[in-house]
Amino acid sequence: MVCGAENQVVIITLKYKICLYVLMLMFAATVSVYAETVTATDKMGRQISVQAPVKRAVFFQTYELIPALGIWDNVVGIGRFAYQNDLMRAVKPDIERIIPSAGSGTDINIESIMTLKPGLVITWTSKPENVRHMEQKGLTVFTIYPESLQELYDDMLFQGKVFEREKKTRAVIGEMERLFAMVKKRVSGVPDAKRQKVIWIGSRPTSVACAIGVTQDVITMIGGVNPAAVYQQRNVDVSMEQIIAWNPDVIFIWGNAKYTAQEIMNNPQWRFVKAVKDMRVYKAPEWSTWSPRLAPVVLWMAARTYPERFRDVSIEKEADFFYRKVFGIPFSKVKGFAG
Amino acid sequence: MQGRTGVIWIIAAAPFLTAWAALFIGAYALSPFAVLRALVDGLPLFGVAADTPEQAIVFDIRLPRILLAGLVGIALSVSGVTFQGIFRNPLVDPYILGISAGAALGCALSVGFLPHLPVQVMAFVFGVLAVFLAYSMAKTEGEVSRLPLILSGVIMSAFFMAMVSIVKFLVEPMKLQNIVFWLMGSFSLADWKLVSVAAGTMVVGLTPIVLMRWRLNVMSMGEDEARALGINVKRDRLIFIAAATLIVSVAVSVSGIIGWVGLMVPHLLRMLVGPDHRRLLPLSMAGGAAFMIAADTIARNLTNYDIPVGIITAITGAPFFVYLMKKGGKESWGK
Repeated sequence: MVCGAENQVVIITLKYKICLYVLMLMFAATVSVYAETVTATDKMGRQISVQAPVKRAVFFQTYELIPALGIWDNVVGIGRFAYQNDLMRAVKPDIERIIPSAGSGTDINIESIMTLKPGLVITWTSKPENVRHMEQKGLTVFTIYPESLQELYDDMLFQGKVFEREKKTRAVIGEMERLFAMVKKRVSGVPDAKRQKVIWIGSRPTSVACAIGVTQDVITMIGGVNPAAVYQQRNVDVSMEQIIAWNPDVIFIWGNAKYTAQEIMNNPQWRFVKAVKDMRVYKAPEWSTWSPRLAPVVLWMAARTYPERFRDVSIEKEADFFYRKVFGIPFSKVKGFAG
Repeated sequence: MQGRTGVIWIIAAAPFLTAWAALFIGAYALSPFAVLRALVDGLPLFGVAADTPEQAIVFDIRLPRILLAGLVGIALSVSGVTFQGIFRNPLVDPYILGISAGAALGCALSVGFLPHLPVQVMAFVFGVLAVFLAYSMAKTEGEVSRLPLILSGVIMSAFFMAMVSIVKFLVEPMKLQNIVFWLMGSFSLADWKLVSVAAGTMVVGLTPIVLMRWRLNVMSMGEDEARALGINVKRDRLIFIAAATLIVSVAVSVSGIIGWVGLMVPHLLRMLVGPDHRRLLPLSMAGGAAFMIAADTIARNLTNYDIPVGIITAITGAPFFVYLMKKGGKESWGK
């Protein structure tokens, strides 16, 4: 009897324990389910849910976040242009051997992608049919096309979440914000009347960046005024006369353009543009603006626009600090500021 | 005949009238008076050219742009007339022998891999190369007949365009924009340097065509007839092709690829003044220049943007071509 009673107690305790375990398990499961599903709306307006952490990702865009977030082990495929990227080469000189490519955002090799068995593909919106094709094959695709600084941050934060590197992402954004704060603080005192007219020119000297895009946010941030912002577009071609009519104080040239600042300054047609008269035409580095690397570019642009306010700042030193902090490499290892 | 003389005078005056009107229109708000003043001040005779923004707008931006448009219009329509004449085919345009595809490849290579070589030079070299290859390919037993020549032109175009696609594939999407933009013909970069390069080479190319234009009449009757009349068909055709290739390549290299002008203007003029090349060719020069200046003035003033002029010419050209086909292109071709 005594024995039986003891048994009874043991059994009850056991039952209780099992119940407890089951409950705990269930609770743990629910918690982990909530913790692991990351949902966000992508640039094509779709709700995308991903189980975090993604262990096998393919990056066609924003691959510069891989070194920034330290997620090399979570990446199984990369856009083929990453192999030519100065930053990617600097952090992983043998990148071709480490990570295979499966095409690019504009040309995908669906079979190669399928062999990689990715949990998530990050690409841009330039070819929606590619995105649909990948989805029909059962892949999860997240599309981006940041058209403002906030959208860039949102895309970065999403990736931080799906790779469970939220803290690191916030730290990277913090580093960017640190440079931005420095810029904003220094240009905040510029009176409205003295704000410099800044234009950003692209593939042709007469293609200007307009109201939509990261560039517009940057020009505003550095205390400039973009006369081309009257157009609600990304870029438009205007006539040379229009540029003379705007008469910008400073001109920045897109890093990938096929002409130099010198060519613009030597062209007699531009001689009445204030920026040319004052020799203030600068070519930006070829860096992507969809990357944390945007921050040093902003500092550089601000320092070129208001040199008197940045006299005590060494842009190279700041960039070096930023690169070491965010990417873990010295600034000297990537293509520097040209102009 | 009376009416026709009037038409001829109107066509001959058209480029000057359109150019004059175009000088007064632009994004930079200048009153007609300011334009006139800038013009008078800028004349070397008076020698008081004060360097003002108005002066720069009129003399360094509008004037070279109008002149370049005119020159390219001349080049495309004259070469259109020439090629249509020697191939005896009204559907031939100046790009038939692969110039545009060659130029596109030159541009793509320059943007993608050879950043130190200017796009214009590469476009010119590859445009000429494409025609040279097409011509050599068509040569069988020392003879170049017209059908194989058109065929090899089509083949060269296809081949060069495939090469362009390869380069486009290899080039980063961001850089790709440079190629795409260049391929859409435009005069937005016109300056005196381009005008002088274009004018210089065009004089070289146009001179033989203009002087020999009566031979186009004979050649468009057919090879046997031409030979019977004592024309060295082989040699003359080579001269025409070389001269036309030169002027089209220059046109393409200074302004990108602008379609339809070389096809449309000769047809229109043939309908207006008849198929006699002695008259048709000079009037095509006038008509081509006038049309191109007008199209470019529309391109830069229709909106606040600078629309690639190739879009304007195609929009006006395609429906026009349908109209021509419906309205008996046969008669207008003459023979």
